[in-house]
Amino acid sequence: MAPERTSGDLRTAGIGRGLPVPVYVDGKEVQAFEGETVLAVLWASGDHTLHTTARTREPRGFFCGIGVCFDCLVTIDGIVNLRACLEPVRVGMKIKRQQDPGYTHAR
Amino acid sequence: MRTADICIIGGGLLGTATAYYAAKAGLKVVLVEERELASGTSGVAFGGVSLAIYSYASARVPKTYVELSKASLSLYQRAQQEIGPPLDLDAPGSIDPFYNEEDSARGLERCRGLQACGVPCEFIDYKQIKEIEPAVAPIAINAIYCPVDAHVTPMGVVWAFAKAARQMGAEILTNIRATSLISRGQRVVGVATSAGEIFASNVVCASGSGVPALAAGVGIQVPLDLARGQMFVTERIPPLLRTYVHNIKQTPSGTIVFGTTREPGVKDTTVTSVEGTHKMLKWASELIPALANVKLLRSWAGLRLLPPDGYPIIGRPEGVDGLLLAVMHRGVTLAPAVGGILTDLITDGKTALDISPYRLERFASSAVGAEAQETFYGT
Repeated sequence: MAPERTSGDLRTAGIGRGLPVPVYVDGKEVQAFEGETVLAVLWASGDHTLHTTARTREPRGFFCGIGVCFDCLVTIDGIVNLRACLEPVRVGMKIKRQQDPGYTHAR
Repeated sequence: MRTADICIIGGGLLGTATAYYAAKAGLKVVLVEERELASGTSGVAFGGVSLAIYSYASARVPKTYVELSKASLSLYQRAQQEIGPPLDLDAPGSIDPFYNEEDSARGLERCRGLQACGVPCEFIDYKQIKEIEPAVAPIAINAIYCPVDAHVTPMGVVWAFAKAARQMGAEILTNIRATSLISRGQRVVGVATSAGEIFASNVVCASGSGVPALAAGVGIQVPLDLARGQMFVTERIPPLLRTYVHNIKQTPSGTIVFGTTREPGVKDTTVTSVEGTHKMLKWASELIPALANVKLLRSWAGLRLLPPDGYPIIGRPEGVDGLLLAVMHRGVTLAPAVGGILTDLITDGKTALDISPYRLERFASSAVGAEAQETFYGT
């Protein structure tokens, strides 16, 4: 039987979670839970594009989930290119999906 | 055995720019490079093409030197039209910051001097710096802002000049070592190389640190100090810098490239050091605090060439015919001008730009070296 999902959220229902942790994703308040990574929060939202690439603006999601592939880069509290899979959520954290800086770098 | 009108030793910016202008003038050109193109100083340099930033903190920059730099910038612009990529000249302007009253006073004097030479630069205060480049911290109290200053990727420019020269018939030979100059009496007539002799009526020594030994073989002493310089590049970040701030620039791909240390007396100039890295990261992140959160990708080190008074050695040395020298510190800025000058000297016997202050013979007199004792800004 497929696991149940909470409404509007890809988290599996019926699993014990930590305390609620409010964070901001692209300016919108989102409820995360203590112990989750930023990647888990973004993935649970259903929008799997974490950033777009520098040259061709193609969407990228996560690949390895353990800090190796660098394909889950996001901006957190103004710092660019952080691996979402390695960052635990903190109260009030401001997470942004990145359009990678690249060859269209405008002056 | 090869013969040519001009044999150039050195496949860096000075060598390939000279090959380009000589081939364009219809000369038969052979260039020999010991390793690969841009494998020396040109492959490690920052890439500033600047009318306003000088490595030495001297208050006065000689008019002839400014004229050389201006001529070079114009030639770069023309070459970019003629050659196209990878000659990637970009002119976002430059900011040369000063951190204390004493530096500022000298900076103001330099700025006035540059303006008198027709350089469109301004002496600005921190408020104006902030308007142009918001990322700069108030440790910069004043700066010279030069809106026409440009930069290039030196390695790309070397390849661009080499390719264009080849298309005009120049022979560009790599992995061939020039072992000595061949002379007949008081005349240099060619170059002995690891792949045989090349005879040429003009031989250009543009191989940087290799020049003194080659020239010494025909009795010409070329004084040249060597130092190590360390350079750094970060990950790609969103647009942060529009101009280049002394030796800190953002490339079109979004990386930040910066440097450089100046370490005389270091034997191995190809390795970086923890101390040098720490010093440069500290300076860069104090001047541009946003860099503190940016990840360093890579660093490298290379040679910095320093003629004892800081100024170039260009042209024909006295006492030997057939030999031309091109040895200098700001080779990236000056390469097209020097290439044009050497070509003029060969084809016309004279050149429009005044290069008399840059003769080798100036070192025979005393009063040399005072300028070189002064410190570099920011490093």
